Amino acid sequence: MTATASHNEVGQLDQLWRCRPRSRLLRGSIAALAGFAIYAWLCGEIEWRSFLTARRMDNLQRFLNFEIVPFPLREQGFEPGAFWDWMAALFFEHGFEAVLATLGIAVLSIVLAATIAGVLAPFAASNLATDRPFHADDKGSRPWLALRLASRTTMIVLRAIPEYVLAFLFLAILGPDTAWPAIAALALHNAGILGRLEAETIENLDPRPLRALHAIGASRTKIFVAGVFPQAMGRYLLYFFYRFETCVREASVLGILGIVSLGYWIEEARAKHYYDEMFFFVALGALIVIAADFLSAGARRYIRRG
Amino acid sequence: MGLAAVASWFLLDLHWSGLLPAAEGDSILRLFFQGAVSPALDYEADYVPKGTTPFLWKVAEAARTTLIFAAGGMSLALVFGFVLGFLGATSWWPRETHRRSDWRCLSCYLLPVMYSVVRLLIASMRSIHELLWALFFLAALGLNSFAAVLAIAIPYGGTLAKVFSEMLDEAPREAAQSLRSIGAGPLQVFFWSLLPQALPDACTYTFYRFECAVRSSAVLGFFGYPTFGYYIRLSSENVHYREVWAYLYALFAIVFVLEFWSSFLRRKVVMR
Amino acid sequence: MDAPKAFELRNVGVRFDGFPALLGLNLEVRRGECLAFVGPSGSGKTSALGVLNGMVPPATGSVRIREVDLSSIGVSAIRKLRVEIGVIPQDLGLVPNVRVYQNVMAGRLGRQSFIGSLRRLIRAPRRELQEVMHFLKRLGIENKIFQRTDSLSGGERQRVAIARSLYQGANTILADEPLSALDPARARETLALLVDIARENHMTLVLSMHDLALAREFIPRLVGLKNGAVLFDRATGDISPEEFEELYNLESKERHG
Repeated sequence: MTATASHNEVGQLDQLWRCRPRSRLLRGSIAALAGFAIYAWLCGEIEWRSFLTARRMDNLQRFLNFEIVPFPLREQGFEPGAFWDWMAALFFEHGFEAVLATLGIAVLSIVLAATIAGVLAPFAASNLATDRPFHADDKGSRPWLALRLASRTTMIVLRAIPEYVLAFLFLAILGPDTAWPAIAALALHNAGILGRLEAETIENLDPRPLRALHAIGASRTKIFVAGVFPQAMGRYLLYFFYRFETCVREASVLGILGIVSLGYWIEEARAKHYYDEMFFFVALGALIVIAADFLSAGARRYIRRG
Repeated sequence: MGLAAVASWFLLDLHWSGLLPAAEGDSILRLFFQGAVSPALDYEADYVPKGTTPFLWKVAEAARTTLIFAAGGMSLALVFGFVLGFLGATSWWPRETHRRSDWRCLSCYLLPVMYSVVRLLIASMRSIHELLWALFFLAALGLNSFAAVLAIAIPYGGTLAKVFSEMLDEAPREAAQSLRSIGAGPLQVFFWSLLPQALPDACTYTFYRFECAVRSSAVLGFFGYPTFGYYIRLSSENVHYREVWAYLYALFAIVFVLEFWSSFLRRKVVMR
Repeated sequence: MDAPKAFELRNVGVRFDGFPALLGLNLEVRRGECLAFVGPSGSGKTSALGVLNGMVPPATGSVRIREVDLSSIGVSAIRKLRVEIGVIPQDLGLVPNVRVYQNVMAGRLGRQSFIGSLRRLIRAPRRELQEVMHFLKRLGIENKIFQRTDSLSGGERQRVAIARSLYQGANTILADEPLSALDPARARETLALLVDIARENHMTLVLSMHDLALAREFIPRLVGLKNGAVLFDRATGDISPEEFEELYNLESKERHG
């Protein structure tokens, strides 16, 4: 009697297990990605087996023991005076100017990006760019749909191209004399990202007050200016500062292409095999990235609070 | 910010005219846009030696290596991110309120020290761009694809660690607290309550970062690795803009697919 | 009553950020006993429950669990004591996005090694699943065993939390406002179930409640708490209506002004 009962129980357990809710889609996706990662490591394209050969170890040793050691310290060991002189010389000769240029490029490009995104985003938000804004399940007529699709596609394309590639292409067209290639590249790429985030913000707004505005006869533009913009402003700024931090990081790197930001001097030092100088500029870049990180984190905290 | 922007304008000595094509830019611009509407399906060069792999095959090959580098970098970054994210979070720490003064209480001394060290490590990994890591490895080790993968994995690992630790710390604490109150240890609390709660968000974020890793891996090609960047540079130096656009379109396709996949997953799995 | 003591509190005071939550609580609970803290919100019920399993450190006084003085033992020994005490917090403390059986199985974490618990997280042993099934059946939600916990109703989740304490093999259950999220009919049913289960398994049951009518119907001993002090502590039948009235009158509000 008890045996059959427990047998039944086992059967029930199996049955319940078989019809448990599960997401094949999620499982399949994870399996596919994991499978591809394993393939990536095993297919031989990543040469991890030959990573640390004797020759590479020699290279690495020379690099760490000699090449990366600041030049004046290589011969006579650590001497604070010489070390400071060396750093000061590098900093005032190129470093200071490069840091300013890097920050300048970052600031200008994020401001431009926010402007472009501010223009594109309202047309991409599905609750604003329809016949009757902020009414639920109104998909909008053909022209609105087309407009939405167009602005969305523009933004996807903009953010699909890496800023480095964009800058490289602009460099060929605009010439290397100004910082425009870097600024344009960063501005366009970030406009794509900011635009999407801003469109999502607009879509997530509470529709009720906006619907009320529409009901009392406000036009779409008026709703945007009076209702959407003030509501969404906080989040806009949040994203703005979040992307500013990345802009600083990227702006310093774009110099590698020949635009006079920090990256230019990094590449220059590398080309001359002055790895100590290269390390100095990389460290300088890391410092301003950390500073921008702090700044943007502080600004975001401030915005969140009030 | 506005003031900073104006100051930067003068600092960089910019003029709107700088946006106009430079001396020979006109013709390049024309070629560039021609390329956009008619990307190459075959080599643009007049003379192609016999036995060269077909162009589209080469595009596919570039896409494959780009994805491989991205997947390799991302999987390693995930390991870094998981371990450092765990060590950089505080929500799993034991909350032993009794006998705080007990000198044997490791959690009172060791954990905060470890936490600061890990946070510093995360910040330094993150603050150096993947391309600069790549340059470093190039200088220290020479051209090696594993070094490229590492160059992606280090900053991405740092970013994942930062975000994961924030997710772990922002996850609701009730379940963790209740497991603690029935005698579960800190690691058990982590694996049985905090990790499952943070997992959906962590997965979507990882997916998004994979998309970024594909872009980074494409750019690494500019330093000689066989990803998109390498071919884009070569073709562009030969002024073969139709080829450039073929590679760009392939990159778009990958990014599109990943983006739709991830937003589909997000809708189906997370937002329910 | 000759049963040995489950809890013994002597003059326990608790402060949160300098604000007193409990003032000199004296309490003895025998094993197998069933009692409830009653009183308005903010009266110190939750703190009193927290003191009973050592999660809330007393600022003054002593706490003895099963004749063991908490101040005399270390962290790991306290943790061992907690393994025997099931806790149902007000928010239930369930992980929303895992399956029901995983939440139930989490009850035994304190008895398992880390590696052992990790193995169970990845793949639950069949025998233990059957045990989980057994307890869920007693609570009438065995069909939900493989569902995601956040897909359950409030009453069902309450049962999952009870099942976790049962599976834990605890000798005591501390339940903080177990009825607060339930509609009146469900609340009654759930309280009856909780009391029955505690009796069946010879468990000590300590609850906190604010619904006096239900408490008087089901719980044999009530401890009235107000502003952190004990107003009465007696068998339910011996408590006068005036005492109940005093528990909920508005004097406290006047004092805080």
